[in-house]
Amino acid sequence: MNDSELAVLKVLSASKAKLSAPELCEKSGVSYSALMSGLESLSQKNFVTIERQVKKRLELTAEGTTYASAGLPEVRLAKAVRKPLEMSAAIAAAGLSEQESRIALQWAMRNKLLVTEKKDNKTLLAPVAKEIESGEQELLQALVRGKRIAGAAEEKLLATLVQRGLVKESEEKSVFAKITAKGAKAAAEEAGKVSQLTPQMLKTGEWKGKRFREYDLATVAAPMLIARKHVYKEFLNRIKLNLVGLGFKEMHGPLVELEFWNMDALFMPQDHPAREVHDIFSVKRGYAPAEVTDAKTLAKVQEAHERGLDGSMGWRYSWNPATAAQLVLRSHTTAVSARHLAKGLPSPSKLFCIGRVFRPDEIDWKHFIEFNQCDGIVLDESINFRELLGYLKAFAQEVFGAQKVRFNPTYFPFTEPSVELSVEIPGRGWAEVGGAGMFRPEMLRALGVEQPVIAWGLGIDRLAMLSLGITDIRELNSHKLDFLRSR
Amino acid sequence: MVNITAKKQLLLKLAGWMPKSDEEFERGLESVKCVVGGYDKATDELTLETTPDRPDLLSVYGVARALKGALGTETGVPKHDFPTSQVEYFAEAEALAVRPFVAGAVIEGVFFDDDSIAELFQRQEKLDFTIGRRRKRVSIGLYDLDKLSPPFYFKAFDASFKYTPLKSTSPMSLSEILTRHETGVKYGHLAGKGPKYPVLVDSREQVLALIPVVNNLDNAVTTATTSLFIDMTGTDGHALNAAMNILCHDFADAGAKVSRIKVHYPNGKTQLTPDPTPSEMTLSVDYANNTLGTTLSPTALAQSLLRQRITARVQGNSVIASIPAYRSDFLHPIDLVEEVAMGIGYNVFEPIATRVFTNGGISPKTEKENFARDFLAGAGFLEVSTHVLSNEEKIRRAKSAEEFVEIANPVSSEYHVMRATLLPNLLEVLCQNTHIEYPQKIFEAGEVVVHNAKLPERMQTKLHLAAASCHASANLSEVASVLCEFAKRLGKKVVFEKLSSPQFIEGRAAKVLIDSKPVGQMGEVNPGVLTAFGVSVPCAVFEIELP
Repeated sequence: MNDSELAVLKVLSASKAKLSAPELCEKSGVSYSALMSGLESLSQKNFVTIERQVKKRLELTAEGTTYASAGLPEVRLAKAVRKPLEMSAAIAAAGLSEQESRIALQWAMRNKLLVTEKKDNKTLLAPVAKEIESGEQELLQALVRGKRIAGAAEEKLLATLVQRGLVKESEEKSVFAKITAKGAKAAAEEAGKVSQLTPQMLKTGEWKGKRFREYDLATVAAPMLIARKHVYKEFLNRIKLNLVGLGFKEMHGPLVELEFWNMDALFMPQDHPAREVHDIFSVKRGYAPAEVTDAKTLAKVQEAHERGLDGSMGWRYSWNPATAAQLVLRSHTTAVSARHLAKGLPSPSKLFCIGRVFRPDEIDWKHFIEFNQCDGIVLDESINFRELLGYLKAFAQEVFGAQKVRFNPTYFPFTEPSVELSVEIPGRGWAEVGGAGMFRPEMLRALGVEQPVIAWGLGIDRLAMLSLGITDIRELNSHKLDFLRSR
Repeated sequence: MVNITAKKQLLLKLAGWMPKSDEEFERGLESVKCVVGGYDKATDELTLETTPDRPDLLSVYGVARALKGALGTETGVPKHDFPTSQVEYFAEAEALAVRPFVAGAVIEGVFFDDDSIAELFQRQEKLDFTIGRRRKRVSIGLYDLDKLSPPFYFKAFDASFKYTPLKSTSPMSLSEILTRHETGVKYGHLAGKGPKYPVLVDSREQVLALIPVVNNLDNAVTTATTSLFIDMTGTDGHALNAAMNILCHDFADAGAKVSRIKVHYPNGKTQLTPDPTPSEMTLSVDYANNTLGTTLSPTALAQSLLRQRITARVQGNSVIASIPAYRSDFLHPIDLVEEVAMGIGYNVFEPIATRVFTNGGISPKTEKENFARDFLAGAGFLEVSTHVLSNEEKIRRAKSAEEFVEIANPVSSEYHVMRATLLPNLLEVLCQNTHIEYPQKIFEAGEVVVHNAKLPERMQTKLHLAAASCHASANLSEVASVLCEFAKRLGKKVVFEKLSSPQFIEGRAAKVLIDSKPVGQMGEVNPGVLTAFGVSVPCAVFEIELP
């Protein structure tokens, strides 16, 4: 027996009489849902008997309520027709709306309150009797006062009112409980037991000889509202720790970025398709013009684009510094790598960044316009392509738990050679999980870097969805507190 | 990624390839930068995703050409001799001022059906889009040569000059085309600023096209066409020659006769187009080996390039590469290094474990954030994570006075600004959980973006911490205790100063100063704000910039 069952049993034992559910709730302080499950369990133990009653209830609809006070349309029409009248005149005299007049005519005819007669080729309405009798109206007005009318006719009249949509019948279910002899005995027994040890009992020693009430172990644990860290942020932290373990230091960059760092410094020509309006969010003007303050890097980037650096042909066009000074929402965390490379890094250096990026897209279960990316770079005199593949293989194993990896050639404007990483996730098949490559010499020389640098980016949200068993990408930033409490 | 469709059987026939399994077929295509996106057995239609650096792979012929190299059945630069035709082309200075580079070619012996003609137009459009940068850098025109009388003249005409453009039934003047014709409106900005506009005409002054906007309906390519004239104009001669070579190589591989034409410039110079001469680039063997982590001999390097349809000869410790004219993606020897790696096969390389040892570490910013997250979770708050992208309506509803950053080209009215504070999002979370059991105590640690005129990018990304306690007896004292305790753990001193704000109940809000620096605020949320969010339970909050 749990606490609420005991409370209910105590109330029933005190009253001895049959009690209704609302009475039991009020007297025991137990909630309705707990009462219902408690009564079920008490009845199974034969501590109480339960009686269920179903009562028919009659209720007037909105239309019925109106007619109860104004009178049924056919009655109002019949009252207006004291001598033969043309139909339109009768309706006007009764003050009926168009809809009411249709109802009035139909029911006045059916209930023989009025008849039609022909005169001079016109159809007239004529009264039938002096007194207008409508059992339906009588019943409707009785119902509104909570009364019924006597006689065998009631049932038929009621059926008509229900059919006319003026009265609704509903069922009212109620539950009553009464204690059994077995229940009374159990209640008496429980009453002698202690439900909680108190400091008082310990001090006075009165606990000695007391019996403590037994717990129902099936229900001993009550639900609890717990506080937790967010499951997705904890996932990102785990990835960070994996990377720290591989010797990477964390870096950050701004969410609103100069096009310069987001694209120009990455050797992406200014007419590159990825720089177009449907591929990148730009910031609405209304601020003082932004500027690229790193004049040395700016000049080098311009040279790389226009004429090339390190023996490159460059993109051979006129590079516009004003375009580079426009603001965009960071579209990839590679912008953060570019900023850090330009600051000057010691050799060797290994850096990573996990951060939010923004790209216009359709919004559905697979795509969202804001997501997390994980980028990393290794700068070292002797770093090479095979070592890049080695890192990718290590990520596949440590981060993705994959045994098999596959490398495909691909294209990024800022890396050459470029490679795409696919992994076989146990039980899920092959999935593309990231892109990587060696930064182009034009980009590195423009940022003042003489050593080769490898770079990689992992699709972190897709991995999170796989790992957390989430199928809708928007759920990663779920607002559902019950979901978050449960994870 | 650029998608193309091709008949699988045609591809296999052209490449002379009989892969033993789907696996071998897909891996083979991946080795030449083509990913199989889908295959419809009923129609034999294959969808391939190609990369934007390789416009030469936008046709089944180009893909087959690359595959033959990878399979080793036909290696090195493809050999096509394009003879010179009688067709000549005169370019005048006024037209060249708008489109400085021009080229033409003659294709004979082509046969089209509805499918192949549609494929050709799609390919033209994709080339216009990729290598052509939406026609700005290069634009392409295709015409039925039998309906034209060469030579061709590229010259400037007045805006009143008329012809019947595609998708029109009656003649239109150039100015009408530029202002009213669908294609004219889309590409008109590339035709110069007037008053005269560049037009390509034949010897009878029949229009081929308003360049680079729209062709003449009268000489459009149809299923009856057997000879083609191709014109290209643009702003980058290198890209233009590559684009012309792509189309000419495709037609030659399809069995057509491709001829060059002579272009006359106003200064008397002439040029044969297209120029199929391979470009040369030298690759140092040491550079390639150091970059790849290999010890390949010069001969082995040259062999791998051959499989990429690049002819290479060894010269001392270098390799001289001849790159086919249809490739325009070689800027630096590093581009040859990738070709070497592809020629070897990416999956043939043995990955090596890192030899670079460094100390890893979490940033101080993340450490600070994690400290705050641990503290608040310990204090009984549930962590939430919301989007940085937000909307003005929500921010106004929360009576937040912060200035925020707006997106110029949003895709949704729900996400058109960046959050400057976290509180509106916390209220939104409470709003969406009114059916869930209380107390609801939540927090978020996350980035916000605010204006800062002192920074070169005028915007600053900051790390904020906000918490909300929502239950029947939530009050200011409760969140103040959390803040004091938090500051104590950081070894800092917190002071509260009186604050009047429409967000909060008057007299029950405060500015928060940590070590004398204002970092945020706290308060009991104004009932008007709670009602606006549909929350009918009292709520106390704080938000600070993480010190």
